Amino acid sequence: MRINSDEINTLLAKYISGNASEKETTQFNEWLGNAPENKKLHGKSIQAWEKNNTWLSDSSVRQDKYELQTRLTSYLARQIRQTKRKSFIYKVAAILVIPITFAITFYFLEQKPSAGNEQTQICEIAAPKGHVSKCILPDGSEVWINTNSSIIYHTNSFNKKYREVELVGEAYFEVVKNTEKPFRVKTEIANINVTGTAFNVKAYPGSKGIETVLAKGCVEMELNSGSQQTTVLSPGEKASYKMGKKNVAIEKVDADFYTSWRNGEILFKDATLNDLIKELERIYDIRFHLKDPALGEYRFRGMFSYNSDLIEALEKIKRTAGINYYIENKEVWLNKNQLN
Amino acid sequence: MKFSDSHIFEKIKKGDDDAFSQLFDKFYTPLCFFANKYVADMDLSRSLVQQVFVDLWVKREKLNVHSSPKSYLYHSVKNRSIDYLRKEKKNIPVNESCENIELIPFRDLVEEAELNDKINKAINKLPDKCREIFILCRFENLKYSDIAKKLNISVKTVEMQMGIALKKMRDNLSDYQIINLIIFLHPKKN
Repeated sequence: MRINSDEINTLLAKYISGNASEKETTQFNEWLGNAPENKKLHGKSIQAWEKNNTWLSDSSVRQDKYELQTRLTSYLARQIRQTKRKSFIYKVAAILVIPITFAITFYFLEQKPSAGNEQTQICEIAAPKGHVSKCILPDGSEVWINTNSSIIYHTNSFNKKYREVELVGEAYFEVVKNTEKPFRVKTEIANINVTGTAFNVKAYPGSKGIETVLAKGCVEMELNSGSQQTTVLSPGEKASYKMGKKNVAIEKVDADFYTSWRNGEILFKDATLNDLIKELERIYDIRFHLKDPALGEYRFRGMFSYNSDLIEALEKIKRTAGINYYIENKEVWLNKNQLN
Repeated sequence: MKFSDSHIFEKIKKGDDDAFSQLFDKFYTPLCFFANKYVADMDLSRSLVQQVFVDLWVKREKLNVHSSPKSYLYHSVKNRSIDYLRKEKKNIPVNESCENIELIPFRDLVEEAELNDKINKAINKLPDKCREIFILCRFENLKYSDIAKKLNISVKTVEMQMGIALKKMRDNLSDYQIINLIIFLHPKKN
Protein backbone atom coordinates (compact mmCIF):
# COMPACT_ATOMS: atom_id res chain seq x y z
CA MET A 1 0.00 0.00 0.00
CA ARG A 2 1.44 3.43 -0.96
CA ILE A 3 0.25 6.64 0.53
CA ASN A 4 1.67 10.05 -0.32
CA SER A 5 3.30 12.43 2.15
CA ASP A 6 0.26 14.70 2.53
CA GLU A 7 -1.82 11.72 3.48
CA ILE A 8 0.81 10.63 5.99
CA ASN A 9 0.84 14.06 7.61
CA THR A 10 -2.92 14.05 7.88
CA LEU A 11 -2.93 10.55 9.31
CA LEU A 12 -0.13 11.36 11.79
CA ALA A 13 -1.96 14.42 13.06
CA LYS A 14 -5.19 12.45 13.40
CA TYR A 15 -3.49 9.67 15.31
CA ILE A 16 -1.50 11.93 17.63
CA SER A 17 -4.44 14.20 18.40
CA GLY A 18 -6.67 11.23 19.12
CA ASN A 19 -8.97 11.76 16.17
CA ALA A 20 -8.16 8.56 14.25
CA SER A 21 -10.85 5.96 13.68
CA GLU A 22 -10.17 2.29 14.30
CA LYS A 23 -9.46 1.72 10.62
CA GLU A 24 -7.11 4.68 10.53
CA THR A 25 -5.29 3.44 13.61
CA THR A 26 -4.64 0.12 11.89
CA GLN A 27 -3.46 1.96 8.80
CA PHE A 28 -1.16 4.08 10.95
CA ASN A 29 0.40 1.12 12.71
CA GLU A 30 1.02 -0.55 9.38
CA TRP A 31 2.78 2.56 8.10
CA LEU A 32 4.81 2.85 11.32
CA GLY A 33 6.16 -0.64 10.92
CA ASN A 34 7.10 -0.12 7.27
CA ALA A 35 10.38 1.70 7.78
CA PRO A 36 12.64 2.96 10.61
CA GLU A 37 12.33 6.54 9.25
CA ASN A 38 8.64 6.39 9.93
CA LYS A 39 9.30 5.76 13.60
CA LYS A 40 11.63 8.76 13.64
CA LEU A 41 9.03 10.95 11.98
CA HIS A 42 6.48 9.82 14.49
CA GLY A 43 8.83 10.54 17.42
CA LYS A 44 9.52 14.04 16.25
CA SER A 45 5.83 14.72 15.72
CA ILE A 46 5.11 13.59 19.25
CA GLN A 47 7.74 16.03 20.52
CA ALA A 48 6.23 18.91 18.58
CA TRP A 49 2.80 17.98 19.84
CA GLU A 50 3.48 17.24 23.50
CA LYS A 51 6.29 19.53 24.52
CA ASN A 52 4.21 22.64 25.06
CA ASN A 53 1.11 22.50 27.18
CA THR A 54 0.28 26.15 26.69
CA TRP A 55 1.13 28.87 24.23
CA LEU A 56 1.80 32.57 24.14
CA SER A 57 0.63 34.54 21.15
CA ASP A 58 2.73 37.28 19.57
CA SER A 59 -0.03 39.74 20.30
CA SER A 60 -0.04 38.94 24.05
CA VAL A 61 3.70 39.50 24.09
CA ARG A 62 3.23 42.87 22.41
CA GLN A 63 0.53 43.71 24.91
CA ASP A 64 2.79 42.73 27.80
CA LYS A 65 5.51 44.97 26.45
CA TYR A 66 3.19 47.95 26.50
CA GLU A 67 2.00 47.00 29.96
CA LEU A 68 5.60 46.93 31.09
CA GLN A 69 6.09 50.45 29.78
CA THR A 70 3.04 51.52 31.76
CA ARG A 71 4.39 49.93 34.91
CA LEU A 72 7.66 51.77 34.41
CA THR A 73 5.74 54.99 33.89
CA SER A 74 3.91 54.66 37.18
CA TYR A 75 7.17 53.78 38.86
CA LEU A 76 8.58 57.02 37.46
CA ALA A 77 5.64 58.89 38.94
CA ARG A 78 6.53 57.54 42.37
CA GLN A 79 10.14 58.41 41.87
CA ILE A 80 9.27 61.96 40.91
CA ARG A 81 7.33 62.33 44.11
CA GLN A 82 10.38 61.31 46.08
CA THR A 83 13.08 63.30 44.40
CA LYS A 84 13.41 66.97 43.76
CA ARG A 85 16.22 67.36 41.39
CA LYS A 86 17.33 70.70 39.98
CA SER A 87 16.84 69.79 36.41
CA PHE A 88 15.84 66.78 34.48
CA ILE A 89 13.91 65.87 31.44
CA TYR A 90 10.87 63.80 32.13
CA LYS A 91 10.13 61.62 29.21
CA VAL A 92 7.13 59.35 29.11
CA ALA A 93 6.04 56.86 26.53
CA ALA A 94 2.39 57.33 27.27
CA ILE A 95 0.07 54.45 26.68
CA LEU A 96 -2.65 54.70 29.25
CA VAL A 97 -4.35 57.74 30.54
CA ILE A 98 -4.13 57.11 34.24
CA PRO A 99 -0.41 56.72 34.78
CA ILE A 100 0.21 59.86 32.80
CA THR A 101 -2.31 61.84 34.70
CA PHE A 102 -0.75 60.72 37.95
CA ALA A 103 2.70 61.47 36.74
CA ILE A 104 1.84 65.02 35.93
CA THR A 105 -0.22 65.68 39.00
CA PHE A 106 2.46 64.42 41.35
CA TYR A 107 4.98 66.39 39.52
CA PHE A 108 3.15 69.61 40.07
CA LEU A 109 2.31 68.99 43.64
CA GLU A 110 5.98 68.64 44.31
CA GLN A 111 7.08 71.52 42.22
CA LYS A 112 4.87 74.17 43.75
CA PRO A 113 7.08 75.00 46.73
CA SER A 114 10.12 75.54 44.56
CA ALA A 115 8.31 77.60 41.94
CA GLY A 116 9.91 80.90 41.12
CA ASN A 117 13.52 79.87 40.81
CA GLU A 118 15.17 79.48 37.49
CA GLN A 119 14.80 75.80 36.76
CA THR A 120 14.03 74.60 33.29
CA GLN A 121 11.83 71.58 33.43
CA ILE A 122 10.33 70.01 30.43
CA CYS A 123 7.54 67.50 30.28
CA GLU A 124 7.26 65.43 27.13
CA ILE A 125 4.35 63.11 26.43
CA ALA A 126 4.62 60.89 23.38
CA ALA A 127 2.41 58.32 21.69
CA PRO A 128 4.38 55.40 20.26
CA LYS A 129 3.66 54.02 16.81
CA GLY A 130 0.28 52.39 16.61
CA HIS A 131 -1.04 54.02 19.78
CA VAL A 132 -3.05 57.04 20.75
CA SER A 133 -2.25 58.67 24.08
CA LYS A 134 -4.41 60.94 26.14
CA CYS A 135 -3.29 63.22 28.92
CA ILE A 136 -4.62 65.98 31.10
CA LEU A 137 -2.56 69.14 31.35
CA PRO A 138 -2.08 70.93 34.69
CA ASP A 139 -4.82 73.44 33.79
CA GLY A 140 -7.31 70.62 33.20
CA SER A 141 -7.24 70.77 29.42
CA GLU A 142 -7.30 67.40 27.68
CA VAL A 143 -5.01 66.37 24.87
CA TRP A 144 -5.22 63.30 22.65
CA ILE A 145 -1.91 62.60 20.98
CA ASN A 146 -1.97 60.68 17.75
CA THR A 147 0.39 57.83 16.90
CA ASN A 148 4.03 58.80 16.52
CA SER A 149 3.45 62.31 17.85
CA SER A 150 4.43 64.17 20.99
CA ILE A 151 3.79 67.32 22.97
CA ILE A 152 6.22 69.20 25.17
CA TYR A 153 5.60 71.89 27.75
CA HIS A 154 7.70 73.75 30.27
CA THR A 155 6.43 72.77 33.63
CA ASN A 156 7.34 75.94 35.47
CA SER A 157 6.05 78.47 32.98
CA PHE A 158 2.92 76.60 31.86
CA ASN A 159 -0.23 78.07 33.38
CA LYS A 160 1.54 81.20 34.67
CA LYS A 161 0.80 84.02 32.23
CA TYR A 162 -0.20 81.75 29.41
CA ARG A 163 -0.44 78.08 28.59
CA GLU A 164 2.00 76.98 25.93
CA VAL A 165 2.48 73.53 24.39
CA GLU A 166 4.83 72.50 21.59
CA LEU A 167 3.51 69.89 19.18
CA VAL A 168 5.30 67.54 16.81
CA GLY A 169 2.79 65.48 14.82
CA GLU A 170 -0.94 65.45 15.40
CA ALA A 171 -3.06 66.12 18.49
CA TYR A 172 -6.60 67.01 19.41
CA PHE A 173 -7.09 69.58 22.17
CA GLU A 174 -10.03 70.29 24.40
CA VAL A 175 -8.96 73.43 26.14
CA VAL A 176 -10.50 74.62 29.39
CA LYS A 177 -11.75 78.17 29.00
CA ASN A 178 -9.60 80.81 30.68
CA THR A 179 -9.41 84.23 28.99
CA GLU A 180 -6.74 85.40 31.44
CA LYS A 181 -4.30 82.74 30.34
CA PRO A 182 -4.41 82.20 26.58
CA PHE A 183 -3.61 78.70 25.35
CA ARG A 184 -1.08 78.38 22.55
CA VAL A 185 0.02 75.40 20.45
CA LYS A 186 3.42 75.96 18.90
CA THR A 187 4.46 74.01 15.81
CA GLU A 188 7.36 74.37 13.45
CA ILE A 189 5.32 76.36 10.95
CA ALA A 190 2.58 78.13 12.83
CA ASN A 191 1.13 78.81 16.26
CA ILE A 192 -2.48 78.37 17.25
CA ASN A 193 -3.92 80.74 19.86
CA VAL A 194 -7.11 79.99 21.75
CA THR A 195 -8.82 80.69 25.04
CA GLY A 196 -11.19 77.74 25.36
CA THR A 197 -12.18 75.44 22.56
CA ALA A 198 -11.83 72.03 20.87
CA PHE A 199 -9.64 71.62 17.84
CA ASN A 200 -7.27 69.32 15.96
CA VAL A 201 -3.76 70.22 14.83
CA LYS A 202 -1.77 68.14 12.37
CA ALA A 203 1.84 69.13 11.78
CA TYR A 204 3.99 66.08 11.10
CA PRO A 205 7.61 66.86 10.50
CA GLY A 206 8.44 66.25 6.88
CA SER A 207 4.96 67.11 5.67
CA LYS A 208 6.08 70.76 5.47
CA GLY A 209 2.59 71.89 6.26
CA ILE A 210 0.06 72.40 8.99
CA GLU A 211 -3.65 71.70 9.19
CA THR A 212 -6.07 72.84 11.86
CA VAL A 213 -9.68 71.78 12.16
CA LEU A 214 -11.95 73.52 14.62
CA ALA A 215 -14.70 71.50 16.28
CA LYS A 216 -16.00 74.07 18.79
CA GLY A 217 -15.19 77.64 19.83
CA CYS A 218 -12.69 79.88 18.10
CA VAL A 219 -9.02 79.60 17.19
CA GLU A 220 -6.48 81.82 15.55
CA MET A 221 -3.63 80.45 13.50
CA GLU A 222 -0.51 82.57 13.22
CA LEU A 223 2.23 81.67 10.72
CA ASN A 224 5.80 81.83 11.92
CA SER A 225 7.20 82.81 8.53
CA GLY A 226 7.87 86.41 7.41
CA SER A 227 4.30 87.51 6.80
CA GLN A 228 3.08 86.41 10.25
CA GLN A 229 -0.33 86.14 8.65
CA THR A 230 -3.12 85.32 11.09
CA THR A 231 -6.27 83.38 10.24
CA VAL A 232 -9.36 83.14 12.40
CA LEU A 233 -11.45 79.95 12.14
CA SER A 234 -15.11 79.21 12.88
CA PRO A 235 -16.38 75.79 13.95
CA GLY A 236 -16.40 73.24 11.12
CA GLU A 237 -13.63 74.99 9.23
CA LYS A 238 -10.22 73.69 8.28
CA ALA A 239 -7.20 75.90 7.75
CA SER A 240 -4.28 74.40 5.89
CA TYR A 241 -0.97 75.86 4.94
CA LYS A 242 1.91 74.42 2.94
CA MET A 243 5.41 75.83 3.30
CA GLY A 244 6.30 78.02 0.32
CA LYS A 245 2.66 78.87 -0.40
CA LYS A 246 1.53 82.44 0.04
CA ASN A 247 -1.82 82.01 1.70
CA VAL A 248 -3.65 79.87 4.17
CA ALA A 249 -6.50 77.90 2.59
CA ILE A 250 -9.79 77.69 4.46
CA GLU A 251 -12.53 75.19 3.71
CA LYS A 252 -15.71 73.86 5.31
CA VAL A 253 -15.22 70.28 6.47
CA ASP A 254 -16.84 67.56 8.53
CA ALA A 255 -14.95 67.93 11.81
CA ASP A 256 -15.69 64.32 12.85
CA PHE A 257 -13.66 63.12 9.95
CA TYR A 258 -10.53 64.81 11.32
CA THR A 259 -11.05 64.02 14.97
CA SER A 260 -12.34 60.44 14.99
CA TRP A 261 -8.80 59.06 15.42
CA ARG A 262 -8.82 60.06 19.09
CA ASN A 263 -11.39 57.37 19.83
CA GLY A 264 -9.05 54.85 18.30
CA GLU A 265 -10.85 54.97 14.97
CA ILE A 266 -10.07 56.38 11.62
CA LEU A 267 -13.02 57.44 9.59
CA PHE A 268 -12.78 57.27 5.84
CA LYS A 269 -15.39 58.97 3.76
CA ASP A 270 -14.83 58.50 0.09
CA ALA A 271 -11.08 58.08 0.49
CA THR A 272 -8.84 56.28 -2.02
CA LEU A 273 -6.91 53.12 -1.24
CA ASN A 274 -3.78 55.29 -1.40
CA ASP A 275 -5.08 57.45 1.47
CA LEU A 276 -5.95 54.37 3.47
CA ILE A 277 -2.54 52.80 2.91
CA LYS A 278 -0.80 55.97 4.09
CA GLU A 279 -2.68 55.79 7.39
CA LEU A 280 -2.13 52.06 7.86
CA GLU A 281 1.60 52.46 7.19
CA ARG A 282 1.77 55.10 9.88
CA ILE A 283 -0.27 53.17 12.41
CA TYR A 284 1.29 49.75 12.00
CA ASP A 285 4.78 50.75 10.96
CA ILE A 286 4.82 48.67 7.78
CA ARG A 287 5.22 49.22 4.03
CA PHE A 288 2.58 48.58 1.40
CA HIS A 289 3.13 47.67 -2.23
CA LEU A 290 0.48 47.66 -4.93
CA LYS A 291 0.81 45.05 -7.66
CA ASP A 292 -1.13 47.37 -9.94
CA PRO A 293 -0.78 51.12 -9.27
CA ALA A 294 -4.32 51.69 -10.56
CA LEU A 295 -5.58 49.91 -7.44
CA GLY A 296 -4.58 52.96 -5.41
CA GLU A 297 -7.49 54.86 -6.88
CA TYR A 298 -10.06 52.44 -5.50
CA ARG A 299 -12.52 54.41 -3.35
CA PHE A 300 -13.48 53.55 0.21
CA ARG A 301 -15.69 54.63 2.99
CA GLY A 302 -15.84 53.22 6.47
CA MET A 303 -14.27 53.04 9.83
CA PHE A 304 -11.04 51.39 10.86
CA SER A 305 -10.14 50.88 14.44
CA TYR A 306 -6.64 51.36 15.83
CA ASN A 307 -7.40 48.69 18.32
CA SER A 308 -7.95 45.99 15.76
CA ASP A 309 -4.92 44.36 14.29
CA LEU A 310 -3.59 44.73 10.81
CA ILE A 311 -4.99 41.40 9.64
CA GLU A 312 -8.47 42.56 10.56
CA ALA A 313 -8.04 45.74 8.52
CA LEU A 314 -6.70 43.76 5.56
CA GLU A 315 -9.55 41.27 5.79
CA LYS A 316 -11.96 44.19 5.68
CA ILE A 317 -10.35 45.47 2.50
CA LYS A 318 -10.40 41.99 1.05
CA ARG A 319 -14.10 41.53 1.75
CA THR A 320 -15.29 44.93 0.61
CA ALA A 321 -13.01 45.50 -2.35
CA GLY A 322 -11.93 42.01 -3.40
CA ILE A 323 -8.32 42.99 -2.97
CA ASN A 324 -6.03 40.19 -1.83
CA TYR A 325 -3.04 40.61 0.38
CA TYR A 326 0.02 38.77 1.45
CA ILE A 327 2.54 39.73 4.06
CA GLU A 328 6.25 39.20 3.98
CA ASN A 329 8.39 40.55 6.82
CA LYS A 330 7.09 44.07 7.34
CA GLU A 331 5.82 44.43 3.78
CA VAL A 332 2.29 43.96 2.59
CA TRP A 333 1.49 43.27 -1.05
CA LEU A 334 -1.92 44.00 -2.46
CA ASN A 335 -3.35 42.70 -5.69
CA LYS A 336 -6.74 42.42 -7.29
CA ASN A 337 -8.52 39.19 -6.59
CA GLN A 338 -8.64 37.38 -9.93
CA LEU A 339 -11.90 35.67 -9.18
CA ASN A 340 -13.87 38.84 -8.62
CA MET B 1 21.15 48.88 16.16
CA LYS B 2 21.76 45.37 17.49
CA PHE B 3 23.74 44.92 20.63
CA SER B 4 25.63 41.83 21.61
CA ASP B 5 24.60 40.29 24.93
CA SER B 6 27.77 41.32 26.70
CA HIS B 7 27.29 44.98 25.86
CA ILE B 8 23.59 45.11 26.47
CA PHE B 9 23.91 45.62 30.23
CA GLU B 10 26.37 48.45 29.73
CA LYS B 11 23.85 50.16 27.48
CA ILE B 12 20.98 49.57 29.88
CA LYS B 13 23.03 50.91 32.75
CA LYS B 14 23.38 54.14 30.82
CA GLY B 15 19.61 54.29 30.42
CA ASP B 16 19.39 53.11 26.80
CA ASP B 17 15.76 52.08 26.39
CA ASP B 18 16.41 50.66 22.95
CA ALA B 19 18.77 48.10 24.47
CA PHE B 20 16.18 47.35 27.15
CA SER B 21 13.55 46.78 24.50
CA GLN B 22 15.85 44.37 22.66
CA LEU B 23 16.54 42.43 25.81
CA PHE B 24 12.81 42.11 26.36
CA ASP B 25 12.17 40.89 22.80
CA LYS B 26 14.87 38.27 23.06
CA PHE B 27 14.16 36.80 26.50
CA TYR B 28 10.57 37.54 27.44
CA THR B 29 8.83 34.49 25.92
CA PRO B 30 11.38 31.84 26.98
CA LEU B 31 11.40 33.35 30.49
CA CYS B 32 7.61 33.07 30.66
CA PHE B 33 7.82 29.38 29.78
CA PHE B 34 10.57 29.03 32.35
CA ALA B 35 8.49 30.64 35.13
CA ASN B 36 5.56 28.50 34.05
CA LYS B 37 7.55 25.40 35.00
CA TYR B 38 7.50 26.61 38.59
CA VAL B 39 4.10 28.20 38.96
CA ALA B 40 2.15 26.31 36.24
CA ASP B 41 0.04 29.33 35.37
CA MET B 42 0.91 31.28 32.25
CA ASP B 43 -0.79 34.52 33.25
CA LEU B 44 0.97 34.51 36.57
CA SER B 45 4.26 33.68 34.85
CA ARG B 46 3.85 36.66 32.56
CA SER B 47 3.30 38.92 35.51
CA LEU B 48 6.33 37.57 37.40
CA VAL B 49 8.60 37.99 34.39
CA GLN B 50 7.35 41.52 33.81
CA GLN B 51 8.21 42.34 37.40
CA VAL B 52 11.75 41.10 36.80
CA PHE B 53 12.06 43.46 33.86
CA VAL B 54 10.65 46.36 35.88
CA ASP B 55 13.23 45.67 38.61
CA LEU B 56 16.01 45.43 36.09
CA TRP B 57 15.22 48.87 34.69
CA VAL B 58 14.63 50.47 38.05
CA LYS B 59 17.87 49.12 39.50
CA ARG B 60 19.84 49.44 36.31
CA GLU B 61 22.41 51.79 37.85
CA LYS B 62 23.50 49.08 40.25
CA LEU B 63 23.75 46.47 37.49
CA ASN B 64 26.92 44.38 37.27
CA VAL B 65 27.79 44.80 33.62
CA HIS B 66 30.07 41.79 33.61
CA SER B 67 27.35 39.26 34.36
CA SER B 68 25.59 37.59 31.47
CA PRO B 69 22.08 38.97 30.85
CA LYS B 70 20.79 35.48 30.22
CA SER B 71 22.02 34.06 33.48
CA TYR B 72 20.91 37.17 35.39
CA LEU B 73 17.38 37.00 33.95
CA TYR B 74 16.84 33.26 34.44
CA HIS B 75 18.11 33.39 38.03
CA SER B 76 15.93 36.39 38.81
CA VAL B 77 12.86 34.66 37.41
CA LYS B 78 13.67 31.49 39.33
CA ASN B 79 14.03 33.39 42.61
CA ARG B 80 10.85 35.29 42.06
CA SER B 81 8.90 32.13 41.19
CA ILE B 82 10.19 30.29 44.25
CA ASP B 83 9.40 33.28 46.47
CA TYR B 84 5.92 33.25 45.07
CA LEU B 85 5.47 29.52 45.74
CA ARG B 86 6.80 29.86 49.28
CA LYS B 87 4.28 32.58 50.02
CA GLU B 88 1.53 30.51 48.47
CA LYS B 89 2.53 27.50 50.54
CA LYS B 90 1.42 29.21 53.70
CA ASN B 91 -2.08 29.10 52.32
CA ILE B 92 -1.93 25.75 50.63
CA PRO B 93 -0.39 23.28 53.06
CA VAL B 94 1.17 20.72 50.74
CA ASN B 95 2.69 21.56 47.41
CA GLU B 96 5.09 18.80 46.55
CA SER B 97 5.77 20.05 43.08
CA CYS B 98 7.68 22.96 44.56
CA GLU B 99 10.27 20.61 45.94
CA ASN B 100 10.23 18.44 42.84
CA ILE B 101 11.16 21.29 40.59
CA GLU B 102 14.10 22.25 42.77
CA LEU B 103 15.57 18.81 42.13
CA ILE B 104 15.75 19.32 38.38
CA PRO B 105 19.05 20.90 37.32
CA PHE B 106 18.63 24.60 36.57
CA ARG B 107 20.39 24.27 33.22
CA ASP B 108 17.96 21.60 32.05
CA LEU B 109 15.00 23.80 32.87
CA VAL B 110 16.51 26.67 30.93
CA GLU B 111 17.05 24.39 27.94
CA GLU B 112 13.50 23.15 28.23
CA ALA B 113 12.18 26.70 28.31
CA GLU B 114 14.19 27.53 25.21
CA LEU B 115 12.72 24.55 23.42
CA ASN B 116 9.22 25.61 24.51
CA ASP B 117 9.96 29.04 23.09
CA LYS B 118 11.12 27.48 19.83
CA ILE B 119 7.90 25.49 19.50
CA ASN B 120 5.86 28.53 20.49
CA LYS B 121 7.54 30.53 17.74
CA ALA B 122 6.64 27.79 15.27
CA ILE B 123 3.01 28.00 16.39
CA ASN B 124 2.97 31.76 15.94
CA LYS B 125 4.48 31.35 12.49
CA LEU B 126 1.66 29.08 11.26
CA PRO B 127 -0.78 30.68 8.80
CA ASP B 128 -3.67 32.29 10.72
CA LYS B 129 -6.35 29.72 9.94
CA CYS B 130 -4.01 26.82 10.45
CA ARG B 131 -2.92 28.20 13.83
CA GLU B 132 -6.49 28.76 14.95
CA ILE B 133 -7.35 25.16 14.21
CA PHE B 134 -4.20 23.86 15.86
CA ILE B 135 -4.82 25.90 19.05
CA LEU B 136 -8.39 24.66 19.33
CA CYS B 137 -7.28 21.08 18.93
CA ARG B 138 -4.11 21.09 21.03
CA PHE B 139 -4.84 23.57 23.82
CA GLU B 140 -8.60 23.55 24.00
CA ASN B 141 -8.87 19.84 23.40
CA LEU B 142 -11.61 20.09 20.80
CA LYS B 143 -12.31 17.14 18.50
CA TYR B 144 -11.99 17.66 14.75
CA SER B 145 -15.75 17.58 14.34
CA ASP B 146 -16.23 20.26 17.05
CA ILE B 147 -13.64 22.49 15.41
CA ALA B 148 -15.32 22.12 12.05
CA LYS B 149 -18.65 23.07 13.58
CA LYS B 150 -17.21 25.98 15.54
CA LEU B 151 -15.41 27.48 12.55
CA ASN B 152 -18.06 26.54 10.04
CA ILE B 153 -15.67 24.56 7.85
CA SER B 154 -15.55 20.95 6.72
CA VAL B 155 -13.91 18.19 8.77
CA LYS B 156 -11.77 17.49 5.71
CA THR B 157 -10.33 21.02 5.97
CA VAL B 158 -9.57 20.53 9.66
CA GLU B 159 -7.82 17.24 8.86
CA MET B 160 -5.68 18.83 6.18
CA GLN B 161 -4.82 21.92 8.19
CA MET B 162 -3.84 19.82 11.19
CA GLY B 163 -1.56 17.75 8.96
CA ILE B 164 0.06 20.93 7.67
CA ALA B 165 0.40 22.40 11.18
CA LEU B 166 2.10 19.35 12.60
CA LYS B 167 4.45 19.08 9.65
CA LYS B 168 5.49 22.73 9.87
CA MET B 169 6.14 22.45 13.57
CA ARG B 170 8.13 19.28 13.09
CA ASP B 171 10.24 20.90 10.39
CA ASN B 172 10.97 23.73 12.75
CA LEU B 173 12.32 21.36 15.33
CA SER B 174 14.57 19.51 12.96
CA ASP B 175 17.52 21.88 13.21
CA TYR B 176 17.31 21.83 16.94
CA GLN B 177 19.01 19.26 19.01
CA ILE B 178 16.15 17.43 20.58
CA ILE B 179 16.88 17.08 24.23
CA ASN B 180 15.58 14.31 26.35
CA LEU B 181 12.14 14.79 27.61
CA ILE B 182 12.23 15.71 31.23
CA ILE B 183 9.38 14.05 32.97
CA PHE B 184 7.77 16.88 34.67
CA LEU B 185 4.71 16.95 36.82
CA HIS B 186 2.72 20.08 37.06
CA PRO B 187 1.06 20.83 40.35
CA LYS B 188 -2.52 19.83 40.11
CA LYS B 189 -4.89 22.70 40.36
CA ASN B 190 -7.68 21.52 42.52
